[in-house]
Amino acid sequence: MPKPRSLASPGEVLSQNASLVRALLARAKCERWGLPERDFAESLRRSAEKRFGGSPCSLQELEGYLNSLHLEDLGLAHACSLGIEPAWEFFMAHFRQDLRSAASAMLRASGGADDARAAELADSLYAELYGVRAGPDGLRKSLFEYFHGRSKLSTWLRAVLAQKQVDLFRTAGKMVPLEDDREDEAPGSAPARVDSGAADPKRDTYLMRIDRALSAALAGLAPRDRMILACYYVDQLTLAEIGRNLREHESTVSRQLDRTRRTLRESVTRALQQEIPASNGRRAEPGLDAAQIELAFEYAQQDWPFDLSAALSLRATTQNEPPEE
Amino acid sequence: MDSRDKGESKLDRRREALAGRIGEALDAMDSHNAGDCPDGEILAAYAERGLALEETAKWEGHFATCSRCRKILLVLDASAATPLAEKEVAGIGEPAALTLAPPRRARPVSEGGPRWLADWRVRWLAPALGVAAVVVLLVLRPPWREAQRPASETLVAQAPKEELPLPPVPAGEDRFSRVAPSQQLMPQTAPRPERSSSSEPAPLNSPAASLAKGGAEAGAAVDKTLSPEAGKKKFNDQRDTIELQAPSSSSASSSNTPASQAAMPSPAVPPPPAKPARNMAAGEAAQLDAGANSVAGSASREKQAVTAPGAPAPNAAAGVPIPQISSEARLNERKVQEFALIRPLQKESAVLKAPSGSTLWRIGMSGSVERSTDAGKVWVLQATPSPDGWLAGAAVSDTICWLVGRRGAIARTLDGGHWESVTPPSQAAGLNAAMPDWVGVTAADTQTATITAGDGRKFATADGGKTWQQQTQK
Repeated sequence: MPKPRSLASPGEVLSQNASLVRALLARAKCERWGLPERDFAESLRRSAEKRFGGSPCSLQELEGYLNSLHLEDLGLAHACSLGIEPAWEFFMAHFRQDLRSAASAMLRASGGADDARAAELADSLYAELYGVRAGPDGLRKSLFEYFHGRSKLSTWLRAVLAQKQVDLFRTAGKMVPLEDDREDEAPGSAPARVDSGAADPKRDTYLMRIDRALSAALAGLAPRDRMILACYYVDQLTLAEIGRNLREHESTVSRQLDRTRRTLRESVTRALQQEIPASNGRRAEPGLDAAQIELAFEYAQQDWPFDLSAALSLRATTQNEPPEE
Repeated sequence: MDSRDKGESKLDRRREALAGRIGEALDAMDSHNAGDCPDGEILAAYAERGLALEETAKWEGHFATCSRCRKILLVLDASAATPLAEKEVAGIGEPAALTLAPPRRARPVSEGGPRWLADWRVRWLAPALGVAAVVVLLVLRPPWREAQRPASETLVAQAPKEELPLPPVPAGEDRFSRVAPSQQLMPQTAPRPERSSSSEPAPLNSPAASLAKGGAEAGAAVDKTLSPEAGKKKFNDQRDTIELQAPSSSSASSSNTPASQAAMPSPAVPPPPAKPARNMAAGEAAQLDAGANSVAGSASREKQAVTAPGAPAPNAAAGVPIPQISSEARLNERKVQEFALIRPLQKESAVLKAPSGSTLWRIGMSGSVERSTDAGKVWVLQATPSPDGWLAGAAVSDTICWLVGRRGAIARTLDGGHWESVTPPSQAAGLNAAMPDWVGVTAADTQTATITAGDGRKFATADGGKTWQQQTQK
């Protein structure tokens, strides 16, 4: 089936709609920096191709996306990436102080507030923004080239700064205290076993069934609910902090967390009540009755001999390089 | 009963234990399955809620398993300090308006426990401040002024119906006598009795209106609508005299009380009765001089400040209250500075406070806008599109704020620092395509806002001002 004519790569659509580019150029007020139309069109093309991932799109989709961009910021960033002096002057005049304030706030949040360090953190970005790294072609590659207008320039700068700070901490081994408890545990280590009195031969079975039920219940959660759980139980954030991260009110987060916990328990209970059919040489396991389910939860509350991190492969994520397209 | 309580607490403990174990599992889950960590742009767009729904779900799935990304979001948020979702902020953010807010809540009562309590505190505080303001006025105003207290018929006649009568412009000789030299006179605000995101004018019999009347005799309110008919020139003329009026009745605010947000400096500052200098008796002039000297300046400066050459001589005896002070009568810069020592904030004393409390915008009548991110300690001047002056605003969050003003001017900032014009509704234009003055605005987020014209018409947008719909008036 031939591809509909209305669908094409973002670059092609853009090149066929010069009026759209001119309208966006006017909104971006690039004349302030003397940014040529073709250069701005190039930044639009890169932004669209990143968004659509190289997939074809219609003019309507492309137009909607481009109209949602922060065009003035995109024009400024692109002008800065080209080294246009008026753009740099404007950038330094309007963003430098905000960057330093953001750096101070970030360091304060990590317990390391210090004007000198904040200035150092903020200023460390300028070299990369100007472009001290060479691209594959040997030419200077500015960090601004990674800004595509999907957010405000100030927010993007803060995000990049936040990435730098977090990665500095992780690579330097200065773990944020909230993560220390988790990070210090060696992968595969099991928590200490609590002496629960007379050994129950079915204890391990019950815990294994809860383990399986939990995994299934987790997989069934919405991403946001999983994220809230992770923020609360892994990162040990307060409800207010989680709310700020998610742009939700603290009470909303609290309600969502309660609902998620209730959902999990109900899912696990239902799973424990169901019979597990025989498979792969294993015999069928009957569903647990109410008393057995109570006992299973009691065992889970005492200790958890299974290492879920061993069941699910663990992959460390570190990223020190600037964001790539 | 006991067994049920025990059972419930056991359930809670188990829920907690399970969820804790699940947290560990999430931390250990393979984030590779959710893809690589996003770049700064995705993180920033996510923080701004600028991602499409499917993108948001995808990345939240990643964030749930990636402690690094969660940490970055936390650090990113720490530098932004916006605690509430935009939509939820709308109910508690207090827009600036010159109109009195109606006595109704924007948020359901059931959700606002602590807020409701705050409202009660404000309610009790408001009359107390009003009484204090009255006492101050009575103390500062010499009794022989009573007979000469002008009625404000002129301004009342000019004001729109829904507005409270504006106070008469005080005569110059009264300025200094009302100013206690030893005090740092910050503009006081009669606290708003109810927290509301609406900027509609309050009915005249509303608590807010009563408060305004009682608070300072001449009806200083936290928010007042500047009469569109007053015009810019008159406002400018009155501005300097307003700066010099008694502090307690100011509509401007520099405090951080919840009710003290968002007042625009207005002519509705309560006044010592206006008396034109030319009609002053010698005794009065001497008293004025004495009062003035106790603060700053000389009698000659005060007299100069009172009336401009060529200004019509108000006839106090006939009860015509307001001396028509032309622009030529404005004080020179040195006098302004001297008065600024007394009234440092009154000139630009309308403050919009974001719900976080730490970010404030200060609006000047000259169109200037300043922002503070540390609860008013340091202010940074910002450029805004309209040179004519802003009449109302709404601070939705630490980075989102809407302003509306004269001749259809609308602006908004999405990052707290850079302002962009918003096209007003074309259907609002009157004869000769003249745009009305906007006297009120409420906003929920970057895209959703409702603006109110001086004639009461309302227009709402849900797409950041690209399109507007007129709202039917209730």
